Amino acid sequence: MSNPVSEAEAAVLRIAQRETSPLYAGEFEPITRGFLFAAISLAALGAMAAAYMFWRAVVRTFSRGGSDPR
Amino acid sequence: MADTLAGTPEFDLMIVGSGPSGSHAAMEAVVAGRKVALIEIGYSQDQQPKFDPAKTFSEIRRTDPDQHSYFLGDNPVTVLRNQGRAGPHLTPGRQYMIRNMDQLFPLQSDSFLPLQSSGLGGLGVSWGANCFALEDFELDRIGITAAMAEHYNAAAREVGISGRTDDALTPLIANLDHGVIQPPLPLDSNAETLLRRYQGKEERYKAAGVYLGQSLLAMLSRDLGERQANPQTDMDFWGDTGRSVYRPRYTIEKLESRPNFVHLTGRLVQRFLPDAGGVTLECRNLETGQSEAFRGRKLLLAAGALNSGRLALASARDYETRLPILCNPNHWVAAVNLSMLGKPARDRRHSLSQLTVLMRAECDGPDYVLGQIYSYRSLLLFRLLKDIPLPPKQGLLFLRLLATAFTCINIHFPDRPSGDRWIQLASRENGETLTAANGTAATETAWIQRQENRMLRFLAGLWCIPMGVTRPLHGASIHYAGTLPYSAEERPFTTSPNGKLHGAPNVYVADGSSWRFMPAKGLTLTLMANARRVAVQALRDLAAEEVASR
Repeated sequence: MSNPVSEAEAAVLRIAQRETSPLYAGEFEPITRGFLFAAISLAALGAMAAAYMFWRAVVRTFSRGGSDPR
Repeated sequence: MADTLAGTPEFDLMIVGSGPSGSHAAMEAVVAGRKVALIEIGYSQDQQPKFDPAKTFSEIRRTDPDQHSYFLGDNPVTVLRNQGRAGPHLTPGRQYMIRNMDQLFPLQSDSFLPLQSSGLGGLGVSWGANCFALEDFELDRIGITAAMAEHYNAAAREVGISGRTDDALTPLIANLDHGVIQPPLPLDSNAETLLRRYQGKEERYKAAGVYLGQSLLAMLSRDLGERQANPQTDMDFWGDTGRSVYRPRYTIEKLESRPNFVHLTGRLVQRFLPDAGGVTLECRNLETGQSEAFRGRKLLLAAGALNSGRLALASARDYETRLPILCNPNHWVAAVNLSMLGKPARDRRHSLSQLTVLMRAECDGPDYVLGQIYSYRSLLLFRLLKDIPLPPKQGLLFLRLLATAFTCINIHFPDRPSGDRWIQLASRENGETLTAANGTAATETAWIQRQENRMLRFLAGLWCIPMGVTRPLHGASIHYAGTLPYSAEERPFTTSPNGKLHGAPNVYVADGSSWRFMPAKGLTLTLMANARRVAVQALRDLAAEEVASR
């Protein structure tokens, strides 16, 4: 029996369906507005990734604490 | 069953397996006029992926309403989950290569997760097409001591190879007649900038034992017979447009028109029974479920290292012996080429490896660590999303910003026999099963880590900044060898230097089972050339026996 699709996999698969439709091709095109634009945007996303990872770690810790340890 | 057949052999030569080794051994024997049977399962593609061969990846993305059928296939979850197992080459259109693998070739292991092919063309269905004609010291370490130039040239003529014959890599990978190599296809924008940076300091890098150049590929840049030059549409992972990238099935198809060639598909070979007059092959017909037997004067094992090893053990009904197994450890590096960040890239390109890095590295003797450099585009962004530590929407934005600069490097390390890596046959209620282990000693792990760090530092020196390394399970490199290694001594489950399986008259080993070392450089072209060499030896032995019997 195959493993059920996880929430994370389902989210990626929704994007996969969108990525393989010509209707949304523009949403997946490379962004090529020069080095500076890319560097600044990536730095901002990098900061967001750090905050996101911290938030997920907090959520994981609290959800574990609330569950039945047995 | 053998008794009923032990009369006149039906075939001069029987070959098990249609992969790179089996197809080229068959070509050699059929051209020599011998009656040849190629016996295998040989599943073929259900249907060709239907996309317009004239359109580039980006045009297809913008216009084709049916693209999900070949980009995602019927079961996209499998595509997503198989990434760690087989890398990106096993796209939906190539999944037939491993159809019913677990039922046909049962294998139990916690530490080794190989792919075994049931498809026409064997593991060559998903070959990345990187070609290496090995240097003499590498052939020597493998155990091939005979001259190989003639066989490399024959294999290269059949395959159709393109690439440079004048860059830093040439002396290390193109140990064959340069006249058979077609001119290279243009590099993509990403690879161009990396190569330019390397060439700026080429002498310094070479002095440090690091060589970078354009990959030598089994991909046509000029038409060859009915096969066409690569159209540079960046769709090479998804189909075989114009047959520009070589697949062993093209050779099999050519042979099928020859009257002295018989292609027996749908047969799972279970045992060989050698005797002084020939060999009987016991098979199961997968359609009828019945047992069948075929008889030939000589047998060439070309079922791949795992299955040739399995067959040798099953034929001897040996459930005790552990055979060695070799498999290149391989890691994937995701990197960003700063020279391309935010810049547009050329649309026309091929999808396969653009550049090859070879790094000299001592490992029980001289050797290399290999890096194959790809520019990531046509494998789609969704595959990368789950590894980005951002919500999907922001993750996608991150990938679009990196898209033209994103670079993948597949690092391969050499492998040599170790008591920790083996296969063994087990008899179970429901039949025979291979068990396998793939342990790595701490010293080996440390060596691999040091070489990986060297490769990452080299890439960073080209302004190609590594972001992360994925280390797939052992077996994911799809390179296997060494189960019936070359030995000058007559020991069971070893192969003589001229390709005969010790203790099994009339049986030859034509695939990588006989290798006693696995270099980091890709093995496929050498498998083809060596299979030709072994086939020539079997033909010589046949001829000598005929003369002696007159």
